[in-house]
Order: sequence, then C-alpha cells, then structure tokens
Amino acid sequence: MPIYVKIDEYKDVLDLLNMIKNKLAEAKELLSRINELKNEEDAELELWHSGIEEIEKKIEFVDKALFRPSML
Amino acid sequence: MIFFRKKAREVAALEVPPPPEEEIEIKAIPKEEIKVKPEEIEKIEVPAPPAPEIKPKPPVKVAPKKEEIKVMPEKAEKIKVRAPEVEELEREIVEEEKEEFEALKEHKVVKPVFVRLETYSAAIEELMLSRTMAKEVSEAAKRLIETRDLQKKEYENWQKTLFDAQKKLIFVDKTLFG
Repeated sequence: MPIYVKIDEYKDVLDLLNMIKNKLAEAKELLSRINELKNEEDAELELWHSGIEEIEKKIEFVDKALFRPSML
Repeated sequence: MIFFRKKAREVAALEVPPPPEEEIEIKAIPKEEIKVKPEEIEKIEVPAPPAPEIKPKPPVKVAPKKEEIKVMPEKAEKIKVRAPEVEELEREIVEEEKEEFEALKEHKVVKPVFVRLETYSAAIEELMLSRTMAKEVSEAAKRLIETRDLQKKEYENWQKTLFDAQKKLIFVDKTLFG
C-alpha cells in the first residue's frame, strides 16, 4: 500500500521552485557571458604574448647590432 | 311598429330648411400659390405660441443644515446612544463577512496535497544534492573572484613593468639617435 506524505503550502513550494529555475537560467546566461569574456581575454593575452616576443626579438637585434656585432 | 309609424309621420311633418342664398364655390388652390413642397412641410418651424406669463414662485424653505437641527434633549440622548450601536453592528457585520470570505478563500487556496513517500524521499534527496552543489558552485565563484582580484593585481604589475620598459626604450632611443 503506497504511503502518501501531506505537503502544506504546496503552491508556495511550486512558486519557489519556479523562482529557483529562473535564477538558474539567469546564472547560466551570466556564466555564458563570463565564458565569452574569458575567450576575449585569452585572445588578447595571446596578442600581448606575441607582441612581447616581437619586442624581445627586436631588442635582441638592437643589442647584437650595438654591442655584439660579431654575433650578427 | 306603432312607434316607427309615429316617427315617420313626425319626420314628414318637419319643414325642409331653405337653400342658401349664395352658392359656396369651393375653389382648388392654384399650383403657383403652393410654395411649400410636401417633404418640406415637416421642416417648417412653426412659431410657438407666446408663453403664458410665469408668476414668480414663493421662496422655498430650505431645510436647516445638520448643525442647525435642533433636537430635543431627550431625543438627542437616544440618538447619541444609537449611533455607536449602529457602528458596532456594522463592524460586527463586516467582521463576519470578512471571516466568511477569508474562510472561503482559505478553503479555495489551501488544499491538502499528498505526494507518494518514494517521490517525496527522492525529491528531498535531489533537493539536498542541489543544495550541496549550489554551495560548491558558490564557493567556486568566490574562489574565481579571488583569482580575478589576483589577476587584476598581476595585470597592473605587468602594465607597470611594460611602462618601465617603454620609458627605458624611449631613453635609449633618445640617447642613441638624438
């Protein structure tokens, strides 16, 4: 014989569950936006990295040209 | 029958009135004189007859205002006693109606809902898991924010270092090439 449990304020529970669902959807959207920003950041970091490497190469060249011309 | 014969005799005895001296000629109205078309007849405004002279009415006695009403002292006492009673009665009626309405509303809204024990247990378990996960996610978000703060500081340091390098490069450029 199945046993049943009486739930008071069933409607309130349903409302709260709906609210939680809405909040979760909102959090999901925010996470997606954060992910997008992180991807943008990664791309920017990659650019910076290549920029730094290029500067490094140029400085190395200047250094060699000025102070170690035999190395060229 | 006798009555009818008598009547007939009386009628025969009556004298015939003389014919009129001049024959009355009934002439038709000439068409030119009819200026108004039949469909316009309704539109013609007939001047209203002069209104009879209205005599001024005697001044109407206005009922005195509430403040002016003078009540006999013994009646006034009764009225004073009755007003709160009426108010009390009205309040009682309102209270009764309100209670009834609330009861009806509660009856409509609050319905006992029963869920199977297995379903209830599963729901509780899922809810507990969800709570734990939500707590974990919240902690992860907190950690991420901390990492972000650290990252921000690192970016600032990095910017400073780059700025220093830029200044030094400018200085070298100026020193070497004037």
